Amino acid sequence: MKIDIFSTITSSFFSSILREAQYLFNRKMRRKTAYVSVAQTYTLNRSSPRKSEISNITMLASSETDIDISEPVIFYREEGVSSVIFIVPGSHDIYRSVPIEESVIPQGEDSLASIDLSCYNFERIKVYPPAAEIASPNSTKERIRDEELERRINTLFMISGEEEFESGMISDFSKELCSIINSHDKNAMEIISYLFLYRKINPVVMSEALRWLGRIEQKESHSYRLWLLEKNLESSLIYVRDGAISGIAALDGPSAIPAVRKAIEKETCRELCDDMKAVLEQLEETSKWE
Amino acid sequence: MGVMLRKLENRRRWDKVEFPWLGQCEIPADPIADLKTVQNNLSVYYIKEDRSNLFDVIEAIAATRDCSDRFDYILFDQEVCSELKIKVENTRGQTPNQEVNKKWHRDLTQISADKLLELAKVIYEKGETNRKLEKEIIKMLVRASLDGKIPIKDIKPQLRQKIMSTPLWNDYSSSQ
Repeated sequence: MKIDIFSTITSSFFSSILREAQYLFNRKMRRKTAYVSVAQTYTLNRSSPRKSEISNITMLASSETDIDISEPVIFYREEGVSSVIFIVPGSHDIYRSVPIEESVIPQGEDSLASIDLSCYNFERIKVYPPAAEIASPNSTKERIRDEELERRINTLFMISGEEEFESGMISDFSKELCSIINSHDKNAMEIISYLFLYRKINPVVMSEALRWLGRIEQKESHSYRLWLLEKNLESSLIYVRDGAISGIAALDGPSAIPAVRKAIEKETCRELCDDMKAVLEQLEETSKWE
Repeated sequence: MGVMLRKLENRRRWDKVEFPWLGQCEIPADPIADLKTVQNNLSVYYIKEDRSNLFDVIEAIAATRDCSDRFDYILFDQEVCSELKIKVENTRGQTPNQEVNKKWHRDLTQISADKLLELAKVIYEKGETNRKLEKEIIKMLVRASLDGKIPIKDIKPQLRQKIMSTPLWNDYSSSQ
């Protein structure tokens, strides 16, 4: 398979993707030593490969069926770990490398072409909901409020490892989680998603949270909650996958059917696979009535 | 011969996952968390051989909870108790279904830590875990309430509200 790679001129499309990416990562890493640097923009289509140094990106392109990968490549650093990130526009998929050495990160306007990325593995880390659903802080007041919310959520997830959860029973954790989401919807979900993706949280707490995310009845955060539930079907932790499938069952939305099917194909635990199949059956039944 | 039902907090604890660190004849520790004793007694429910009272028991236990949720449980042979010399007593259950409380609740009594571990091992090896999804549990509770098996007033407010807000409740109520 051949791949053509050529630089594209900055366009409004590029700017909007960049703005979204900068927003997401700047916002998430405020107070940390993060920086965002645009290296170069590429458009890839599947015809003639020219640059071996981006072979991993090539690999990702071949794993998708009919998308181009145009990306601002973003280097970011968090707690001493640096990564390369690029975005698949339209799909809102974001890929990032597993940690990359600090020394390879270019400064200023250096080109990505000078970096050999072939030794890094990329993983899909995010399928963000449409940009329109991502709230943006407009004023200092709002930013301060968001920081308070972030602290509140962090504390909640941190202290809840001590709590003993009982199925069907309301816990201090679930009460606070529901209250936060009901009052801050997408803002809260954004912070929670970040915690789930980039922080080490007790898997039992994650599982409990996912179950409650499916149970909350709130339109504004629905697609974000569904996204996070589907995302966690791919977790390497069995309790987290279990929480995700339970949350999806509670949400009862047929739009989750493809993600559940995919999870069933991949599931290695026989019993959990059976539970996923039961959920799939439920969703298919629900779809008949919609 | 019937079986015993024990409610589980999470079926995942009982999955037959292979842990490389487990020795021969050992079981993981997590399942024991689902066998929490109170005054050295373990609460279980007797399920008839034809399992005709299984749904009644599940509904009754589910009706004791704050809100709707999936329901995980394990079934194990009643004979296990006699094999392990565990005393079984008919005691009254604490659910909103009086018939279930009276007829089907049992306490496995005088359980030592050693006995509990033996019991956990046997149940882990031979027990049958299962899960009822939240949606199914709500349906069951709607029917149980409308049939009068579980008085709706005895269900906790949030769960009651959930039951009464389902289209099922309205359909059943209007058809009866």
